[in-house]
Amino acid sequence: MNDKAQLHTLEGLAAALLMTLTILTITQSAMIITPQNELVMDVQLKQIASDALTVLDSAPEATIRNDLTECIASWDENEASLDSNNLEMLDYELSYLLPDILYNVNIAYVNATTQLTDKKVIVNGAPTENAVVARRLVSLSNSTVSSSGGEWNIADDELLIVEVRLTAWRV
Amino acid sequence: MIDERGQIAVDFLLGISLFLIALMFIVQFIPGLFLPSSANEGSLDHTAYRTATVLAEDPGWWGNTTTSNTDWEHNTANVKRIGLAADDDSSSKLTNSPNLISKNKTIAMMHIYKTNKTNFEQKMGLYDNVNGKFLYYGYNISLVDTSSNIPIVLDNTAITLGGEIPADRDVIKIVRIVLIETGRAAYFDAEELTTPYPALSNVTSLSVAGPKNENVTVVLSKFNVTGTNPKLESIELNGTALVPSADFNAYKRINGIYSPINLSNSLEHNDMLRLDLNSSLFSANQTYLLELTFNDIWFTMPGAPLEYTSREEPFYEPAYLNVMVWK
Repeated sequence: MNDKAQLHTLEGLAAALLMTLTILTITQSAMIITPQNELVMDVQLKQIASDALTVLDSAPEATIRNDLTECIASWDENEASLDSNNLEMLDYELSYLLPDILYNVNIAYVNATTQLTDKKVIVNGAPTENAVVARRLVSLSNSTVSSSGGEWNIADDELLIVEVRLTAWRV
Repeated sequence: MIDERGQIAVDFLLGISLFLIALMFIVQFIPGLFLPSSANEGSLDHTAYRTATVLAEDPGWWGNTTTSNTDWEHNTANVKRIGLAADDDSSSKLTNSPNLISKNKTIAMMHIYKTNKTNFEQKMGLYDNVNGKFLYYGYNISLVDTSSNIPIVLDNTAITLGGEIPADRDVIKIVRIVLIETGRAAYFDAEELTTPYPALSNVTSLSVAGPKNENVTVVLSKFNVTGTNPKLESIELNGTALVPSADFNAYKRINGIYSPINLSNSLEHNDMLRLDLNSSLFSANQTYLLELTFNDIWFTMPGAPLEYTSREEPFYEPAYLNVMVWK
């Protein structure tokens, strides 16, 4: 008589499984809503940062005097620190095109003796978590460097490809 | 008897477990099944992004039964896609110069917008197709000056189109930095300029073939400076002195960007001087002689004046392309 409809070991196991699964399902299915507007802000920031580099790079001679290549070519090989930027022309042009946006600029290149080198050239502070990076490649030769008055050491028959990395963020 | 009441049968437990597991499986594996159906709201982000990208990076396209290429600004009736990027080879489908905006294409876009708004909205894809019925979005597209945020004026038309921006709705805004062709300019190194006088002189001259319907813009650099007060003294056109701001505007490039100056500003060797001369001065069908007189800036080469028109090329200025879209 007492044996009817009782929970035994196997049923206890099934009940435990059921409870575990329910808890697991509830904790996992918490709906994640993608913050769409934030995503658009990021896309917009990345777009405008990459536009700034494109415009500086492709500007005809009479529009923006020192284009991106000339600005990078004039680098004196000293790393920048906060408030002591050594590519002032580039800094000025970027701040003109990117009002209300803070940015750092790094350049990265590989040459024969060193590994990949990454140097800071414009430092405006520490980027926030939402910072984006835009990149653009420029090619330097000995003649562009000497006409821009830079300190790069490039042989006459050599081209150096430099990646300009613009880290931009809003505050 | 009493212990038999209120007990769970093993069969029931098993059955309900299986049912719940199956239900949870369905809920988990079909995302969006229980989401509210408002996901459509986000799609305008993409519309704004697409519109701005097509305008800034695409040269556009036109075609009829026999031919098609990117110079749609001359064939606005058969335009397929409106894009503003300048293109030096109209038979290729892409441009080598994204973000460089052509003046003629911009004017043609304004023309299409003014003659047939619906056509413009369809070409730009600014609508939602609900069961074959077009619901048009609200939009506002403008090209504005980077410093003043005032729409750029080309051909006496301010480049701004679309409706008022509503205050009570979500407006998606995308900004692109572009270079807009605002006119034509000729660039000269001061070293190559000639002087009408036989020896060292402060005077140089250029010849301009009229008539001109666009401003005559001369950009000069690499000045030969000797003296303490190098500056532009005066400009004469066919012997008549021109009046600053009424007849011409002078700009000097400071840190890469042109800023207006008056004639007393000093000019160093590497400074770039830009002179914008009013097009109405050059309205007749004749050759004009433009004479620039400097102070402490010298020209050494005697000879005939250089020709302006043969050196003319598009002149670009930085601008923001704003695209705003709302429902």
